[in-house]
Amino acid sequence: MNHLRILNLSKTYPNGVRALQQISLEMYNGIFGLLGPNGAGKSTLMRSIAALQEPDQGQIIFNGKDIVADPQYIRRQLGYLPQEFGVYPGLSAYHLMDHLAILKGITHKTERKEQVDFLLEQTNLYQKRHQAVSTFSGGMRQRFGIAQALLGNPQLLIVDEPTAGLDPQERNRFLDLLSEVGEQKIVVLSTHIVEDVRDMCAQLAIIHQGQVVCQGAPDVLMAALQTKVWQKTMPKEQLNLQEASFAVLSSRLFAGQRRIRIWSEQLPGEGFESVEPDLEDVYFSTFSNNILV
Amino acid sequence: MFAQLLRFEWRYHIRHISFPAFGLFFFAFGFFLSGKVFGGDHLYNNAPYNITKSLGLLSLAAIFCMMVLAIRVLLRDQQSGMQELIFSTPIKKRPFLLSRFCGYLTISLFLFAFTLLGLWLGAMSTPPGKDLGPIHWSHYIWPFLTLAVPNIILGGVVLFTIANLTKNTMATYIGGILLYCLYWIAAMLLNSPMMAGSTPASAEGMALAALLDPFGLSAFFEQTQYWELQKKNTQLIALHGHFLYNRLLWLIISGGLFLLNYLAFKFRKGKGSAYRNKAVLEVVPTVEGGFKEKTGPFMATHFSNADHFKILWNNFRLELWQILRSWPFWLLLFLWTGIVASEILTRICGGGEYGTALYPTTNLMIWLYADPFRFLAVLLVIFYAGEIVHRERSLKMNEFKDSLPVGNWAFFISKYMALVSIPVLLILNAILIAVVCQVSKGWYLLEWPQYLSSFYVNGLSVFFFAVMAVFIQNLVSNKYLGMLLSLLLALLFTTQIGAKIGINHPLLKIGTLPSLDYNNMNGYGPQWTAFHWMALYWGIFHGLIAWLTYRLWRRGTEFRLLKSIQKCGLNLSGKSKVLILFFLVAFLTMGVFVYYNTNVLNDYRLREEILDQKADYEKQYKPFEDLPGLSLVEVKTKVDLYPQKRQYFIAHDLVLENKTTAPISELFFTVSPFVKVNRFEIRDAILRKQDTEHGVYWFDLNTPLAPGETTLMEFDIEDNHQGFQVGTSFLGMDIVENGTNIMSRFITPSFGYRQSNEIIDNEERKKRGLSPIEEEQEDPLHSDASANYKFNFETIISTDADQIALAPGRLLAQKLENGRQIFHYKTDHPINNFYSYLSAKYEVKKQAHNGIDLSVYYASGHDYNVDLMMQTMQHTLDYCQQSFSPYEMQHLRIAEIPGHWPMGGYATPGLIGLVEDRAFFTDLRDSTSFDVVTKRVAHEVAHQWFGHQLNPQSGPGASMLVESFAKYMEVVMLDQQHGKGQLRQLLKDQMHDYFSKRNQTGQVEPPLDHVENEAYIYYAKGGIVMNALRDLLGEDILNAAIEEMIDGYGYPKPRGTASDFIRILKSCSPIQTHAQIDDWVSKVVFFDNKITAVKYRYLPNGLCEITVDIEAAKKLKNGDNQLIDTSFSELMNIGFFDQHPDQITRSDAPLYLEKHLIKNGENQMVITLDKLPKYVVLDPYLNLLDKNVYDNVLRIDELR
Repeated sequence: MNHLRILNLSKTYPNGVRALQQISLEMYNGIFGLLGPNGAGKSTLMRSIAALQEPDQGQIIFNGKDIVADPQYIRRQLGYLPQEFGVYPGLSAYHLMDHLAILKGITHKTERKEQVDFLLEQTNLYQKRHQAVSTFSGGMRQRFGIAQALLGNPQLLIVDEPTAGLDPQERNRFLDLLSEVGEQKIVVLSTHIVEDVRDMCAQLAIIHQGQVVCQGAPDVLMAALQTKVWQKTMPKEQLNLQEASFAVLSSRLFAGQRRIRIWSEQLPGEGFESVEPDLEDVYFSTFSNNILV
Repeated sequence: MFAQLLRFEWRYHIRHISFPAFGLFFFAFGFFLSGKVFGGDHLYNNAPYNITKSLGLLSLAAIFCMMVLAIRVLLRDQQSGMQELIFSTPIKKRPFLLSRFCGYLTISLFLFAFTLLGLWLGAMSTPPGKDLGPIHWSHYIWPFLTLAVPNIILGGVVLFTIANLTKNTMATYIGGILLYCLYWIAAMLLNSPMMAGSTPASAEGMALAALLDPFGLSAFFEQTQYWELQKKNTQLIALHGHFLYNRLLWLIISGGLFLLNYLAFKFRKGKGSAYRNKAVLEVVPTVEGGFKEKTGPFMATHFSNADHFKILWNNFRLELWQILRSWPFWLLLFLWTGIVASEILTRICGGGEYGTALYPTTNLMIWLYADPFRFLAVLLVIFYAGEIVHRERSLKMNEFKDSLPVGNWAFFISKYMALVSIPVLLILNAILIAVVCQVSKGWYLLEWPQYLSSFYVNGLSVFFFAVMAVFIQNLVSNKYLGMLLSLLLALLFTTQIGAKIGINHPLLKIGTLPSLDYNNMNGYGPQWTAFHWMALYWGIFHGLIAWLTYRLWRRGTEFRLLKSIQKCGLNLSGKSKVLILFFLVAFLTMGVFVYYNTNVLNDYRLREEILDQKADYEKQYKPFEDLPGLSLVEVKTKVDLYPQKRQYFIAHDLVLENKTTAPISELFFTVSPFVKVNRFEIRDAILRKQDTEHGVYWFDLNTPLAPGETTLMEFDIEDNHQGFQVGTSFLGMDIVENGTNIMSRFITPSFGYRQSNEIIDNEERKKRGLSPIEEEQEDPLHSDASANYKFNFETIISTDADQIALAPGRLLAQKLENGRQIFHYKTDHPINNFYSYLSAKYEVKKQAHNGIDLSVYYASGHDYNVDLMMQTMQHTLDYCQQSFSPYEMQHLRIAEIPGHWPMGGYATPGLIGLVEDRAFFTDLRDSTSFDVVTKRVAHEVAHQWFGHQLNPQSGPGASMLVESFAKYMEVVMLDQQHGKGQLRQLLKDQMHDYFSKRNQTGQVEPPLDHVENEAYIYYAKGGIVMNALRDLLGEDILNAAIEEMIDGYGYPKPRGTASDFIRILKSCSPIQTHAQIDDWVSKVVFFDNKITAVKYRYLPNGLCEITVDIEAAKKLKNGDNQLIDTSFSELMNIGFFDQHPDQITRSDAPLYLEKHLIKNGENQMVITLDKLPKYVVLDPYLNLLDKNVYDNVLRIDELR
């Protein structure tokens, strides 16, 4: 069982942005969701775990080893899929995989070929293995990204917004693969798409403005909102009025009418009905100032 | 719309770091160049000639900066991913392209204008004086407009077009390098002052070069090559001739290219290459694929040492592949092939001095590619370091590559190895070409160890530089800033800039290794050792820099320099701490060791310090210049040479005589400060003062020496080379392992004040408060030939067992004793104080000729021209004995001396030294190529008469009787052996030499009979005048006059002067020739003649009537050093030939050759011949000084 422990991690960029403030998290095998809006500090956290940048304060301990002091330790057990990446122009998928495999320490030739072939097969890129990665479409490129991250049996897999460019079908398959992989290792999945987390993660943390605002198992978090989420459907133009007096969780258009969900200890008013809380409510409730959690 | 776009471009540029960086760069260089950079006394720092040259050269540097700008302008959309955004706006192609180009060009011109500012401020901040002419704005603006602006437009269009059409960074760099290559080739053709070269180009070559050079510099040099000092100081480059054509040609090419660019530019998303676009289309239908759900093998990873090596090797291969896959790199190798091949072929097929060919020895091959290699390799390292170090970041691959379990050292080393494989490939390529050239010339002596050492000798400093370039690139986040910093670093240590700011000592010049020249007698010579030690010293330094680079390796998404530096020393293992400490200590120790060698064991002095010392000497001792001295009458020496140890000991026993008319009671001597004196004693005299700093010894005689009395002097010296020297010009190369050549003037004391110690350069004199000297110093190798009375000479000289030692005189005895070869030489006749001791592993060819023992001493294998030398000695001896006087000695020797001597040869009594690569390696297998061997041997043999027998009074005109007469023998022998074609080649070379060197110092040009130390007069003009006299009077009359001169003024009779000779010459010659003799010898006169038109028709009797139009002008220099046109009417040769006059051999007779009376202005001759000749030539044998002799030849048979 792998164990990743993050203790009081802080990071302030030279321009004054406080990207991480005293973050503490604990993870075991399985998929751990990092949820948060853009700019919340998710990528900074993941890069810190991947030893791509150093925190100002705090510790990251993987299986008992402080990886800030010994980054090479984590690198040997790491699979990393960055949010955005490029490749050497003109290099074929097979060759690039082969190259990365060597750099990951799979120096035995036949073993390497076996694994590269397998991963290409598994990500359904085998047919295209002689084609240059730089010519791949977004989905293929993302699949290549996960294939390279899986090279060498990593114990810690970090995937940063992996589903952003994928169509629904690809996204489902991608998540399936991830959940399968996640049984044996820690997978840190960062995303701002709530559905990804709900479907996949046993544990999650919601990060906002560099702080962990909430963490735990999705069920538990949802249960905490039981009987406190209310919904009302109304004409579009009434929104402002509603917002002023309620802790609005979400507001979206539904069949030409506005449907809002609010948080309230008791029935907030006329026309509201009590609904089952979902993960999105949890997510939004953590940002809303009017909520007294 | 256009204006807005332009404004956007402008703002885009000036906000970027490159704007202030380049602005500062150009300003600083302008400022630097405004000082004394381009030579010559009396040439103002701010002469328009200098400003034009500076702007031209800096426009070369501008291209470098423009490459960077072009990439920033044109590839920015692609690199920043903005392309699609921009291309989808409704902007039209024309305003888009035009605004970008105009913005690019404006910013380039604006930045380059900082050079003007620098040049101008530099001139303004110089205190007014002799260095500074009037500051005039037109001197800056005009060359900027005519030279710099078109260059920048051309560079701009070329780079813009390439960047725009290929969207490829490397291709854009290569485009710039292509321009440099064109410049290089043109400069090679022209032999411009920027290039080390020797032979003047032909008119055709010059015209081609002037047109070909995209920067117009060759055209500038072509136009100004014969400019006199005053013109260089005041005149602007004129927009006419080749310069105008060059500017027009390249502007038209620029325009054409821009049009092409405009037409070819497609306004849609450009990609790197075609296959990429195609591939995208293929991919689309397969999107549907997903992930297959199955588990598989996840293999264990290995990180043993062997695995680390595999990782390193694999990453290196990938880096290298990234370089090799780009087509621009192959284009570059192709260009490099062209440069090397043309460098080599021009030298081994007749591009040497006087157009001679040289045997393609391996050292020559390496020497030929060494300079262009260094230039190109440094430039490429600068570019590629930026590309390679920043590659992952610009590809956005850094995040996942940096998270891999690969050590920083592996990234660093694989990138560094990929970078240095570029210079390695360049050298490999050069060697391949060199070998092909050697074999194609039938030369199979391929010295592979030398080629192999080329990686060390030529490559190592570039490999060092690559470490620095990677170090710099790793520290800066912007690769263009890194490139600029690397360029500055390169310029700092390879140009004079470093010296200007006080970086002089070799220990401070980062990565700079001593220059090594291999010669075939002595190999790399004594500097080889110095090279190893310096290589080790810098090797450790760069090793430490490499370690630092690895410790500071920019990894991950964030890099903070200060933090990295702080961390750099932390968490080091004990072992690496010890190792680093060890190397630090080793580096410091090496530094101390080198310093001990250069500054303690040896004398390390800067040029400035040596000059100060000379000035000191002059100030202290010049007042005693007229103190009478004694004369040498007997010289006996014992010389022990230890070439292996680079040691020698010489003990002199001298007999001195008072040849003045008054008693002498005090004596002062000057000894070269480089000589270590062990004993200096004069009989019955006391050493009153010894000034070792200046080598001055002052004796008081106890009893004054009466006139005619003699005294004895003992003078023992030694030279013992210890350790090694770097960074000094005086390396004591007289004693070397093979090819010792110790010349008397460097070791023997002078009586009294030594004038040759004075500083020659008037600028340097002024700085030290000395008054300017009016005449320059004599050529040191010939000066003493006319300085002293003669004496008897005897020496016992010993050397290593496998060497032969040579000295003047007859060989009385030779024996091998205690492993030493001992030779005893003694002269039968008194000799001049100009002799030398030689020793080497010689082979000898001997031949007796009319009672004279002739021998050639040469190094094993260097026997290509030995037979020819032997023949020429015989021919010249025969001719001189027959025409002038008997040869005094029973022997005449030629000995080879190593290539590090910067001269062609010298003649001591009965012993001639010739330099290996300027006579022994001349390739004369092609009988039409110029026979420089005959020329040199004839010259030096002639000195046995002119210089040794006829030793004129020193003073004005003396060099005419020595050097011009020796030149005369060159003329006679070349004509006898090869005919007029080769003679013309010699004389054309001298014409060029004369016209390009006359009037460069601001001093009044003397006529030949008053020549002092102007080599371009006593050699170049002297040869032409002697050739003309020979034609005017006939060889018999001229020889009779010389014979009478030797008879009347040769040793031991009182010495004569040039005017004595002219008197004799006139008494032997018809009176109607005297006007021309006066013109040539006693005045400064030259011509500007040309054939303007030729017509011919066949007469009824079958004869051919030819009408020749001639335009003639004669310039006479008056007393104010001004040239004036003179009217004249004199006889000139007109000849008709069936071959070009340059091709005339001994067996070709002219169809017609007569003297015709030519007057100034238009002339017309009508001449009837029995057949139509091919060429008409005015003055075919080059009797008259004429700047342009090419327009004196016209081909007739192809008219109409």
